[in-house]
Amino acid sequence: MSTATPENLQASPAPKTPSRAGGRETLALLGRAGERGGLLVLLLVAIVVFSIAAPDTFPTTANLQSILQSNSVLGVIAVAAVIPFVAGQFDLSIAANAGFGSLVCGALMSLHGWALLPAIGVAIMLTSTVGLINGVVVARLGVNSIITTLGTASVLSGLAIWISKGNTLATGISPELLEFGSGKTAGIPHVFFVLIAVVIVAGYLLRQTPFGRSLYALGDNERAARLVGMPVGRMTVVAFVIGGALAGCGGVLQVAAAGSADPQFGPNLLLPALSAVFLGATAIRPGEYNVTGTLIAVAFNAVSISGLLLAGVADWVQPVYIGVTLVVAVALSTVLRKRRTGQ
Amino acid sequence: MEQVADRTGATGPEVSLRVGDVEKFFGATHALRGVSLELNRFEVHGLVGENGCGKSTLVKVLSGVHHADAGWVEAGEKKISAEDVTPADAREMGVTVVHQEAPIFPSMTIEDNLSLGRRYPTRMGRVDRGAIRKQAEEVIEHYEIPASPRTPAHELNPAVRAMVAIARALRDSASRDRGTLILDEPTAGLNEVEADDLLEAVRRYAARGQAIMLVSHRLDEIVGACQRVTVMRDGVVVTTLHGAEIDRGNIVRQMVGSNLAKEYEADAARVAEASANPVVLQFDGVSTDQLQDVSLAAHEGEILGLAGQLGAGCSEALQIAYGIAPYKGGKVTLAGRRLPSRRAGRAQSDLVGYVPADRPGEGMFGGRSVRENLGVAENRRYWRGGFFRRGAESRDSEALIEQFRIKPDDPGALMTNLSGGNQQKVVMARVMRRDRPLLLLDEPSQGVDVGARADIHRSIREVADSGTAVVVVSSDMEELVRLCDRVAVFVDGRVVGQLAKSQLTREILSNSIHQDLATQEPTSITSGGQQP
Repeated sequence: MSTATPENLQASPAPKTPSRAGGRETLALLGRAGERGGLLVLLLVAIVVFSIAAPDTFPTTANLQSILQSNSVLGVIAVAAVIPFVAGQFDLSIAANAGFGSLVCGALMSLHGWALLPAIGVAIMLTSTVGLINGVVVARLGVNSIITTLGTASVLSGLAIWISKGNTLATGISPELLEFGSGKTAGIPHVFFVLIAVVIVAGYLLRQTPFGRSLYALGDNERAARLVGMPVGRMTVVAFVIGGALAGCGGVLQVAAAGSADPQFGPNLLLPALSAVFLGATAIRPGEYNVTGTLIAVAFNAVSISGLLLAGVADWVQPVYIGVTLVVAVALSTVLRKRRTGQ
Repeated sequence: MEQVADRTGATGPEVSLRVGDVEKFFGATHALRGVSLELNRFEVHGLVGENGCGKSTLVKVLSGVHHADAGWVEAGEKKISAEDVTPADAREMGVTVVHQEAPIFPSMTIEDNLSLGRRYPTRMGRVDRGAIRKQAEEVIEHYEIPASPRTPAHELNPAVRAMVAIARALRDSASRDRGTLILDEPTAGLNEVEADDLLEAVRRYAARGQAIMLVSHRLDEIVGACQRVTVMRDGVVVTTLHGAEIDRGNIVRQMVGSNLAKEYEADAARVAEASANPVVLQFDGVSTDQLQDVSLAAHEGEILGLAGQLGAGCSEALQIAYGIAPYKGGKVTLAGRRLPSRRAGRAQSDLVGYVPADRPGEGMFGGRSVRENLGVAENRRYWRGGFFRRGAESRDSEALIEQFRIKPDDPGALMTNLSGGNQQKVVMARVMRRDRPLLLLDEPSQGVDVGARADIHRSIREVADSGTAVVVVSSDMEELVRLCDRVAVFVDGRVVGQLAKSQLTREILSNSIHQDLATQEPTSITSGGQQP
């Protein structure tokens, strides 16, 4: 067993290589396709399974409309959370910020008699300002984003209670908004169109603009991004501001969809939104946060929860389900990333 | 003494580890093609080859990180299939791998570093410091580490730090002085003196019976340290040289084939004179905590080298020129404009291309694709009519991949999955794709093999010929000699002299970066704690 020479080595394994390598490549391609589309397939499977399990209640137009109606706001908040994530930062205040926006919008109309458009404008301006504060504290003062936004979230949920005196504001909301929020076109709830619009805007921003492309690089290696000449601090701030603005849209949409502003609503959506973001990072572009994946993940979670409830499972399953998917999604994306980077 | 008996036994060299017919695929890539080799006790065995030739993959198979697709591994009576070597098997067979980034904890003392990863000895429930020190002293003595157990690791020079890492890895191996030690680029980042110290220690460990495999790109140290040298190319073992066959030219020929070798040698003969051109970068008496009164000028079309030991101030000078490090006194002028001092500002990325020395930490985006890494500073260029022109980006990436011979040639490949040398080529390609008046390169060919190094040097020369001023920092004196028109020598934060092309040799450079220190402050060249 001495060392081999190139001649005899090339003679032996080479003929076998093409078929073997080819087979492997096909497998790898299939695997990758499976990863990309896996969540979509799961969504379809869930729809089929629940249609069989609850044939009278699940696969109905009414139920589908109800799922779209009650999850569009969550979808907007999840998409809002994606943007700071891409920049490498957590925004745990995103749901509380949306709740704060809905309270501001609702209170201005209900308690102060404002017209619809100024109320929406001020609400979104304030939620963007919250994003600005988060961004400045994280980027300029260098405070860890988890801590910063956890603190902001607590402050915002307190402010929401203060604004509303702890009550749900249901009177004096602009009738146009209510009409829009409960209306449907071609059987599809209007709020869902807003979600799709937000998805398109955020997707365009992340995938088609230099800013979005740079944001992914920043999220991967901040120091390298700085050395390449990116205005790292400003980009981080902008990512938080955009997240805040989209969260504000989510808040306004909540007022429209629910017909009222409830100080409890925002904070409760944090984990469902994060669960969707992490689960979304396992699909379409596995291993990275992306808007389309997030949308599919919201749909998957919504269908699963609705299906479970309609199949007769008790209410307490919902938080259990969200908790489990949150951890499973993160575990799955960790595994995918390890596979992707071969470590 | 028993080892000496082994050595003089009539049966010839005693094999410590035998590897046969190892095959490994990564997807469609055939990374190892029937690799076989033997590592003997009492020998340092070099493993060389271009980036992506399969060296690292082989090391990972032997240590149980990757599973091979075929082949076998044998040590002593134990022979197992290479398909299922686990880290535990590797340990049992006496195989120990020490990687270039040896995991040493800088704030901890040597004795604490040495006692990590094993149970602390205790006495009456408390950690027994005395026992730790005794164990550490024993290890330090056995491995002849020139430092005391209580020295914090950050005070050690990198060579001694590497020795501590080796000692810690070997400490746990079943049979000390009998196993197989694999060193993966142990001298990367060390200067020549430090590298010599480390290799001297490695030779001593081999002399005591250890089989050692030395994976390195530095051919001089391979020639100096190894009794046998195995050359790999494209996943195949091309040959194993021993004794008198081991010389630099021979190894290079085996690694790259004959054509490239000639170009590579011809490259060394190039001379350029550009000092009459306009100045792009000027330092006038620049001072910081580290630099003292540094004056320099880089002209258009010129390659200026900065030579110095680690910490002499070369890298800092680059950072100042790039606008990312502050300076206190003096004046820095870049393309006719004065750079603000005192405060580090935004990187001067419009005028200057910069390649940092710390590639994983500062130079690249490991989790992004090669295409994105190449295009990361060019995003605006592809944004037309409100949409990102991915097709144009891909075409440009492919052209760069071909030009810089990046492997694999897939723009979608993830950056971390490339070998170190190919990552470096991507970083270089990213910086050099755009014409800028000044290029600052900190260790431009780190981890890159001979063939690719010649490519990179040629590209740098082309960029300079087109009028760019280039400033290169390198710990490899040979690289500076080959590449630079002029070299400024840094010692302890001062420029002690400048050497013109005609004066440049490796020996002169090596001596000049060390000599002044030796006369001024002889102690600062080595680590603390050199007492017996």
